[in-house]
Amino acid sequence: MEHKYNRWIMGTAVGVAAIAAAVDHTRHSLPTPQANDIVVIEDDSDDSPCSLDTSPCSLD
Amino acid sequence: MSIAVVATDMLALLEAFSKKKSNAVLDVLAGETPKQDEKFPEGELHFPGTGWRGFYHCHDGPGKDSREHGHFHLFVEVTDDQTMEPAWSHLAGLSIDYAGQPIEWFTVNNWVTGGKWLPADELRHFMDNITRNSAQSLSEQWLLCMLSLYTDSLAQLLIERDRVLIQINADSTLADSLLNKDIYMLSHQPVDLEQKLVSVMEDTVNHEESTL
Repeated sequence: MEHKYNRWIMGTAVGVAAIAAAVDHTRHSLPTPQANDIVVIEDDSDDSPCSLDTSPCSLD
Repeated sequence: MSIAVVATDMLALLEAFSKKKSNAVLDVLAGETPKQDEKFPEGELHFPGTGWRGFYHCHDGPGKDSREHGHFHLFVEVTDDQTMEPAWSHLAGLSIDYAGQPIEWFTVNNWVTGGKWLPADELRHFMDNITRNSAQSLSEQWLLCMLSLYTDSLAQLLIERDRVLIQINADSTLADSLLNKDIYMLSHQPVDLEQKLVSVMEDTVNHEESTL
């Protein structure tokens, strides 16, 4: 199976140009982020701005 | 799973996104316009069948790439060795430009992401057996492919993270450094997905030719 995959990726159908096209076809403009209306009161004590919201065992 | 297989799977994912006129970010935004600091998707990324979690958001920050629209944060489930409870450890962030393309891996200090801090050599092992399946969304599979394609780069990124943290705060304990809000970005590494896929293809061809 892996050999088959290798053959597929190196085959003439998938060359450098095909890879470039595959990536290029996923270039789509993203919507510009908007300012958040919610006022956040800064708390320097234990604020982690990029943390996960939930603990691993909690129910959503 | 060889990196050639991962690259092939990535091409299939790109084709799937192309058919939907989408990409990993548009997939998680699901038609919404993001607000600063708002996390996407709602409920975060769960990567079914794995111990990974993540989300996408947009905000300013020190050291941010000027081309960046927003970034994914990727966390892995670990065990807290003090409480023996499950916990999350931040592996890396992935910056995305305004065209939805990955431009940079980065790491940040522990106070930014919270969670359990693990040294580079321990985090490295979580990238050894990344599994993808059809229960995962396209964007989840795309992110797991990115992790697999860039495992070696990420290992170096994490080593650099640890080195920088020690270097810039040599007089403090690690615990103090991790909470030092003067320290934000720790390491970063450019990403060129197209070049990576071409590189994997060329390496595969060279390997196959050398074994003929």
